[in-house]
Amino acid sequence: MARIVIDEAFLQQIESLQTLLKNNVGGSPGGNRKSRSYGSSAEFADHREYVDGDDTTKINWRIFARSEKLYLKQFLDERQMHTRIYLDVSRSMEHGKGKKAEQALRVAAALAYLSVAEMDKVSVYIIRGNRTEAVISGIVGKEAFFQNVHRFNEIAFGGDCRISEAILPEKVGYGDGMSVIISDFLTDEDFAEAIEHLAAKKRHVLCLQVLSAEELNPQIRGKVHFFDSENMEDTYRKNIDREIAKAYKEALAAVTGRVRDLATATGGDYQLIPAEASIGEVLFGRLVDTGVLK
Amino acid sequence: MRFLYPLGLLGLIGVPILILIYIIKNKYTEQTVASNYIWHYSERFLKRRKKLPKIAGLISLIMQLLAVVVISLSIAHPVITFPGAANEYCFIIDASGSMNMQSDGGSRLDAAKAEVATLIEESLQGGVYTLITVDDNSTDVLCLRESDKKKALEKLSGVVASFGDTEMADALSMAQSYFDANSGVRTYLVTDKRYEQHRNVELITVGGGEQNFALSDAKYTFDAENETLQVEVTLSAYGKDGEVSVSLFLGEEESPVDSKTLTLAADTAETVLFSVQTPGFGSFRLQLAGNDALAADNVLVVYNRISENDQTALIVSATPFFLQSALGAVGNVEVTTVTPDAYAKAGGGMAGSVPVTGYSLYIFDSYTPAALPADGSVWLLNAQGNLAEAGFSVQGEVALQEAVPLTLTTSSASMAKRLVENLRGEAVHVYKYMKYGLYSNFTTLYSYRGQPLVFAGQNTLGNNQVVFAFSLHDSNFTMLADFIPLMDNLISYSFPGVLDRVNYVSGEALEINVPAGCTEIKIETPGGDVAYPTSGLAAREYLLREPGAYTVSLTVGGTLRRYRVFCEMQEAESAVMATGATFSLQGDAGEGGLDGIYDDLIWLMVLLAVIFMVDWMVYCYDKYQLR
Repeated sequence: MARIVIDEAFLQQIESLQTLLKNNVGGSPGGNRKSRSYGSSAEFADHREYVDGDDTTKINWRIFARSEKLYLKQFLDERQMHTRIYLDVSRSMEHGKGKKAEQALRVAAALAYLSVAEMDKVSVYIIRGNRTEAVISGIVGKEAFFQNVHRFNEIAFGGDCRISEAILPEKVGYGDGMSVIISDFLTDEDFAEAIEHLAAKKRHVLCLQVLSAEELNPQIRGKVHFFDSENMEDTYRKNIDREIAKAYKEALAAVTGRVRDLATATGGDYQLIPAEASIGEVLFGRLVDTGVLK
Repeated sequence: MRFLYPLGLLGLIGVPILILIYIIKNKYTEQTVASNYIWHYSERFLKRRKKLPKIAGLISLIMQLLAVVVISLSIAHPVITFPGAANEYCFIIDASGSMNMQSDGGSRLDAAKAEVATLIEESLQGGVYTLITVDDNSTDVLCLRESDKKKALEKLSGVVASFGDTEMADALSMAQSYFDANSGVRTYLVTDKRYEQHRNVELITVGGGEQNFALSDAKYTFDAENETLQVEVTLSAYGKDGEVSVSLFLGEEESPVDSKTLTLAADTAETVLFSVQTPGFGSFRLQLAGNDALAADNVLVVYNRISENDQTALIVSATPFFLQSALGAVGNVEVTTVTPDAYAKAGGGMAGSVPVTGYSLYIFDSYTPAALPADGSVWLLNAQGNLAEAGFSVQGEVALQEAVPLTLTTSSASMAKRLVENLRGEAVHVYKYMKYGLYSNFTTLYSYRGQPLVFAGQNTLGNNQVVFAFSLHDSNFTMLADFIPLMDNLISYSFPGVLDRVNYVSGEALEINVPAGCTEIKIETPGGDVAYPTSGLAAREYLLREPGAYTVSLTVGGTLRRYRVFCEMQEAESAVMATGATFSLQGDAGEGGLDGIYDDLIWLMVLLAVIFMVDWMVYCYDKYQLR
């Protein structure tokens, strides 16, 4: 069982960070975020020409007096975002010393905290097989977060994870915030449909790929017989030499590049999270550098 | 194929052990990983490789197995046999004087040895080798049917040429016997002589075409009255025409007293004459100037034998006149005279102020010493007292009324005849004599009524001894003509020549007449070698092989006596192109091959293994970066 090692002091430290939403997304009224759509707040945003059926109370008569044309005043609409965090809890995330799982839980908890700190709504889902399970559902505010944060400790890792099959049938919201997928993405395109689906729903997709050091830079050489932790029948038997090691590096670059390309192509973000990196480095380094946090 | 040390193959047990270890050790390391996804995915990025990688993992095992096999075979020493492929070889190497000639930077013998060495080295292992060297003194079998090439080559490298002639009879006989036993034997005659007939013998001829000058046959006459030395020597030219100078040196002088330059046609000889004024000489040397093929025949030294054999005599007498006169008449005797008193004061045979040792002859006239000297011959004249070593006892003096004639021996014994040689038989009269009782074996020369009055023989010290039982003053002997011939005979008897000759030819034996009391003989050769022939026998022979001056030193009674002799080369060996007699083996040559052996296989295997391993290591390092 993974342990969350984020303490309260660390949570206070990251409180100053905000998630940066790059999309013009919708959302429920309230919250501390300005939508790029026009709403009923007092903050003026822009003008547009009047069309039949518009609210005549929002016509700017001063412009009409100067130009004899009807223009409507438009105001920014402030809405509450809903951050949805999807966590891959397959066996591959927990294998070894469980550092990938711990890192995934820490990152998920941190992002959840940052969201509630921004008065956004937060839901955390785990993906087990082809289903999602809500660990935390729609909480708002720090108090609610601290009441629910213990649930991260109760998450059990095991089995496999089919991201698209799990997300596609679920309600993912529409234009109301960020969807974060935390996984090792070690699968053949299983996640592509899900990312494209979320993007189509005007969600800002953040893919966080958590990989361990032995996956990023394997040192092993010689004759090996690897068994896949999620499927023991899936084996790899080779005499690992320099050429295979070189091919692995290329394959790793291709796998990570594929996730990054997919995420950025759909307007989202991507970050590789080494399992052994400290949460500070992850939040203040990698996520700030990519613009996800500021 | 067979193995010299089959037990070495036990090392091959390591092969299955290694394979077993490899099988046990070489299992795949099983490991569960988070995901095989990237590993499988990496297959797409692997460059297409040949089947080589499948055995790449076996490289370590292959090299280890190879090492074990090679080491085991190295110890076992494999030998491959080719039936009938090897041969028996018989090499007859001419080691005569002419093989010392320098030809193309080395001696002819060096060239001969190189030819034989090449044949041995290139022959197939399994052959046997017989090496025979021949000169005029001996035919030596250095190795007989030796199967070890290395040993045969070692024997060959030790061959040195003599300075004698070539006497092939024994070698031919030996070669014939080997040929009779095995008609397949390959017989090689390696020589510088030309043989027109050499059936069943392969002739390897070395040398030829060099230029050589030689001195030989030196003779001299010395006219003491006119103090003139005339020398005659034969100068020969071999191989090529040429001009050469010959010089005459007296003694050890560095500058010649005369030189002559001659131009000779090839293979001709001329007599060179020298005539020089000199009051006397101990030796002279003839020497050619310049270098030619053979240096050993460029110098001749001739010793004046009489001069070299000068003897010393000590007369102990109060009235030495007759004895001094007699020894002076004979000549070449260096006489020292002392009175009996002086001799007695010196110890009578013991060391003192007067030299009482170191003489070849001691003459005691009417005086009896305390003891006889041990280092020379002794004459006792009118000895009054007994001497234990003398071989007779004094029985008293006999005084006669009148002089009586003595009887000269008529014995046919060789010694008696030698001692009375040239005597006329004049009547010797004495009127007083000493009566002696002889208890040793003496030869009586003169007697009176059966009583020996002059007799000679060896005393108990082994030295020649002459006894006169009367004083010369009590006889008329000194007035007679027979006195001088008798003195001459007795001196010859008393001074036995240590060396009969002082000039020899290579191959001759130096005969040393060892004097009594000689405790050591030392012979120094021209090359600086020193030999110590045993001095226990009366005569010793020493074979003279090397041309040049020899020094013979004898220690007699604590005194060193030195003699010089010269050995010249055999004249026939100076010839550049000599022709030998027939050297043919009777019978028909057959096959008679021996089993050929190839035992250098292991080196080939090691070489192949090294090449194999280096190739793999380079390849693997380049391609796989094996750990």
